[in-house]
Amino acid sequence: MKRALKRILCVFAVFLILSAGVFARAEDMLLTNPALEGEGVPDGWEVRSYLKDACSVESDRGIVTLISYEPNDLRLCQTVAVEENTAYTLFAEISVQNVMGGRGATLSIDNYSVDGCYIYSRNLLGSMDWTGTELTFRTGEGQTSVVVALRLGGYSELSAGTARFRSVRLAPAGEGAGAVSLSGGSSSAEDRKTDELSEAEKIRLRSYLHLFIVLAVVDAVILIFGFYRSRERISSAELTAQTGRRLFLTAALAALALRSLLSSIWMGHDTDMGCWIGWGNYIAQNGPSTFYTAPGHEWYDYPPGYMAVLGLIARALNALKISPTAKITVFAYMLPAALADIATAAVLMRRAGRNGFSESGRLLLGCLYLFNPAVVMLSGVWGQIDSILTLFLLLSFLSLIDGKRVRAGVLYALAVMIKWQALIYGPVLACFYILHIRSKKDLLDTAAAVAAAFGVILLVSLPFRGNQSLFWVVGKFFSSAGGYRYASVEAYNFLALCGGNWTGVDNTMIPGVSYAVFGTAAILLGVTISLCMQFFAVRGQLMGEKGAPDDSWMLFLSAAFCMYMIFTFGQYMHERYVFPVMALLMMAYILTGKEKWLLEALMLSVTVFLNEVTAMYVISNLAAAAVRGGREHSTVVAVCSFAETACFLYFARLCADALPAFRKGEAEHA
Amino acid sequence: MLERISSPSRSRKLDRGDRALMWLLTAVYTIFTLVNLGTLRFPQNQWRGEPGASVTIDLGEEKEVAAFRYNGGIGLGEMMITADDGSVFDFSQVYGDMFSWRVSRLGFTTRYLLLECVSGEVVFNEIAFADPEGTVLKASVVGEEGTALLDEQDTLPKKPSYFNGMYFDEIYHARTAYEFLHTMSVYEWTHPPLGKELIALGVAVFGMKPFGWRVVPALFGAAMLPVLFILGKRLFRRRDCAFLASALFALDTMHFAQTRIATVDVFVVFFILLMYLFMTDYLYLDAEKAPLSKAFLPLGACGIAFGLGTASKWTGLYAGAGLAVLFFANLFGDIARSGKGEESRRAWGRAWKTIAFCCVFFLLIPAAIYFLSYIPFYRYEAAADPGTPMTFRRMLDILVRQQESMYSYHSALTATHSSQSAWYEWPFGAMSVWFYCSSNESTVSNISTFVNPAVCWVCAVGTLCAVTELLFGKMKKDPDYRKTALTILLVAIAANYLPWTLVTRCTFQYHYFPTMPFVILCGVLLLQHLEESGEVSARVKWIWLAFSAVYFLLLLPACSGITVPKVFARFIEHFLPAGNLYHGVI
Repeated sequence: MKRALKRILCVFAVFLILSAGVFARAEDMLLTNPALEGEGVPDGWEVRSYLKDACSVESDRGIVTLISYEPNDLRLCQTVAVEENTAYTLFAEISVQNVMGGRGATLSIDNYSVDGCYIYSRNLLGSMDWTGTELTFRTGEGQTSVVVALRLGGYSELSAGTARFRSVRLAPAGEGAGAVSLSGGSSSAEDRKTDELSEAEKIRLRSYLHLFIVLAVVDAVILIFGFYRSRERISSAELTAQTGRRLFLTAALAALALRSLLSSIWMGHDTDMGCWIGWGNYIAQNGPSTFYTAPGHEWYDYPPGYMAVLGLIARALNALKISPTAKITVFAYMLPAALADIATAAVLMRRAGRNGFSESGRLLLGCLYLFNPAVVMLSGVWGQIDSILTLFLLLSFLSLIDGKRVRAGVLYALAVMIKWQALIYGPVLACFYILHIRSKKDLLDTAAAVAAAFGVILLVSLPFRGNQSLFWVVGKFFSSAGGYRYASVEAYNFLALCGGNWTGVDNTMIPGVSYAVFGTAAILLGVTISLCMQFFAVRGQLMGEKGAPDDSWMLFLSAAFCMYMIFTFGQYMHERYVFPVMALLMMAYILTGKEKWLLEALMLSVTVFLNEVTAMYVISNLAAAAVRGGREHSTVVAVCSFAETACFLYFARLCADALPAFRKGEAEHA
Repeated sequence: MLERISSPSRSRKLDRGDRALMWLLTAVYTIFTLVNLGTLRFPQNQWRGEPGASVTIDLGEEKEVAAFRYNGGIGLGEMMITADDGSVFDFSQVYGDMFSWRVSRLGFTTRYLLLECVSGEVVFNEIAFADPEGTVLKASVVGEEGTALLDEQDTLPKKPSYFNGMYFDEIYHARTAYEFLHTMSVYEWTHPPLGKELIALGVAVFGMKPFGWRVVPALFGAAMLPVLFILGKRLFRRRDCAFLASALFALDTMHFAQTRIATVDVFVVFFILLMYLFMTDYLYLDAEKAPLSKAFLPLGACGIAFGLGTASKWTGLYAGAGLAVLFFANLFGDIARSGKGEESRRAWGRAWKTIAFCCVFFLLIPAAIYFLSYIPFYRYEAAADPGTPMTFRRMLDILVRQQESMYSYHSALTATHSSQSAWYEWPFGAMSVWFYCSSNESTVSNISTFVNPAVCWVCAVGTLCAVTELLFGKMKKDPDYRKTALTILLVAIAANYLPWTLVTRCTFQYHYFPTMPFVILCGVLLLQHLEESGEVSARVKWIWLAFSAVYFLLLLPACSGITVPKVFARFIEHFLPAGNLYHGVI
């Protein structure tokens, strides 16, 4: 009996094992090698592409990386046997890095060569962390196979950049709604359009670009024709210090409320907000040490300073049990930038107070910054962190002109750890340090400042080091610097005016000169001129002239000039790089009382606003396919680039007039 | 010269100098707009063929026939053209072919051609046959039937163009004007009929010819200038500013293109301008407490203009809402200012009388005008069914049925159009409406409707600046009449423009046409304000006008149909900021 029972159990066990194998095969049979194993092209998969060159497919530890250096339709395909009239779901996690143009990264059914049919999942553009993506489709009558594709680009919608895929699965789907029908062999023109926007919707999406121009015009009229022309009248309103403080507090709360409202409407820039939340959660869960080194994290190009802040926000949200998809989460990630705006306004107002501005004049300045559409847009709608960079730069520069060299060094290092763009101001800052050494103490302070700066960088980067070298952050900087090799990345400047938006830097700009050559020359020239500006400012003091004016405010002007010129004529620029210049120019106005700097700051804010709105819009998933590279996009690029270049040239003229050497020349001439 | 234009008078009434300048501008513009408007050499005699009707054409001897050129009438049908050897060409007459010259390719060698209607109804004003070189062959009709086909061969143009045929929506509006005159079934019913009746006036005088159907719109376009001049004088109280506004309007490309085509927008804009002119007059008279008999004159005229505008296009109603705002704001302002006692009683008395008057002139008379404007519809229905008497009740039924159709057409319109644009795109004219284009390898002739950037972009910014100036309290020191002027203009702009923010059907740049004159006036008002506060030199306005004139002349080929080398058209399209004028064909 026991034997019989044993036999029965054995047979049952064998049956169970076999049937488990069969069930397991049932899923495996759909996709061969879904784990994407193998060197180079994963086994069982096949690479297809529109262009054969300038692309690569690599697999490593279950992650396959598709890279297109030129716009292409690159697919990793596999033909899968399927049942007719059956719904399936294709799932994978996708991460994208600098994916630009066309359809972007998708999961796709690529039956075009078989029956003219292709469909896509939701598309990912720009840079985005791992995102679960699925595509549910229904096979057609008599259809026995489909070509499954992990895809970068689309048919007639070519994309460039890097897309990574992992955790690929194909499984029969339930009978729920939402499956896109394939029509197996028959004409499928209608099916192919299933996921495309209707023509009316496309027209509407494109027309918004013209709306942005109108908004920028309204912005310009209100700021310049309204506030700037009425500045004296507004500044002459009598306010007590206490009322001023109360009004500023009200303004700060209103600014915060406005940003929270906007963040709940737009939910931030989809790519950037996805990154912030994903990164914050990763750091909160896994700690910072593997943040830059984990598989698929190689492209994380932000310096570690702000990553630490993201980790803290994520922890706080976790502690409060707030879901990552809640609206409040988005605002929480935007909060540091919003607070930085308020702090910047406070810094501007404080310094204005010290420089003899009236209470109402200070308040006007603070509000012009706090409620400037360019500033509100960035921290309230987009959710980017240039506001924080601006604050640290401003604080650093102010400390420096106040003679607090070490503090300035520390603050500058923090700025660098927030965003690499702070390094652009490095030469200007270094020059100021050197030109203002008047004593041994200054020299020692300078050395201490440099040491403190490096110390801060080391300290901030240490938790993120993991198994990397001690100075890993230097390597990170160089790897991120080469990220976008375009003349302009939605930065509407002179290069974009010449057709350089999303154009490779090695392309010809004017016969014989590439964008790279022109841009590099302009960057060098910009830095040189800004250094000369500082030299002119202190020339009198250096030459020991009695009564030579203290033109330390020139630090702000030269830094603004340096960044503004590099933004206008340099390559690799992104739309927001010029953002801190607004605050620098406002500070120049505060320190000198010369209204032309305020005017220039307001003019710049208008072009920055138009640039920001357009850049955010054309990169968004909804609008990208319909508007990028179209007539309306070109119009905004042309209008904004022209205005930006014109504003810079006007600014350059004002700078030339402001130089003491020139002023002296004028006086002699007179 | 400029000194003469800058008269020191600050009266809102026109003096001799004002009138001379106004009529001079109008005369110059009228001549300019009538040149090249449309041909007067156009076939008038029609042949109408129904199934079975046939005409034999004799070419004199056997010849190679490569092309069939025809100028169609209002007909839909099919016809066979048969050659001597029995070879056949099947011809279809379709919508859009009417009153313009078209060509069908043939490949016959024959002496006789038999034209035979096989279905529907084919209508020709004139036809011709050409050999492979394009030379028109001498031909005659055999027998009595169809002589109208070949009786006006001198009207054959060298080349079909806008000048000698219908273009864009003329195939609806000008066609309907013809139908009104001939008591035919009305084709275009999506707008009230008055505009088409006015087009029909020109057709009645000059015949169904391009010049005939375009002359009345063109004259209304010219007549807008003195209206705008007078309105400008009332608002600005300065001759130079009134002249500037009307001259800028004359130099606007949309005004030019939109008034040289036989569509109905020109009429509604003209009547809207009249409405606001009369309402302005009434407001000033009322403010001066003029006797009601005097104040009611412009108020009544305003009501009539409102009726005429609404009977031309429903957008007149939007403008009417603005009039109501101005009227009631003024009325309640008066009552509020009158305080208590006798003065208040008097104010209330005046108000009630005025309201009673308005009920007649803004409700009853416009309703009567609207009702009467449908006379062609009643006439057609009466002719179609002579047995049933055309009672008032039946007329009312026809009217109501038309209104229902019209409303459901506009509210259910979901089609998209390559030239459509949203309301926020209009002030800076991002997308022109493409009326006509004809090109060969080296030249192009084009008509698009778009705003002149030198005029309208500047004035759009000027309007924004004026609002900002008002909000920042920088107009406090300005004279009262300027504040009133700005209020009138802003209300007019809001009334004509803001309703479009709620319209969901596809919209076009020319929907901005009724708003545009007020935007121009607002731009000039701001300049006047800045000039009088010493912020802007007096010369600026003349520099602006000169610049606008140059810009207008440069853009003229894109809005007038003048044939220019393609290289110049490319210059316009790619180097002059103005909008998508050639829609990518060059």
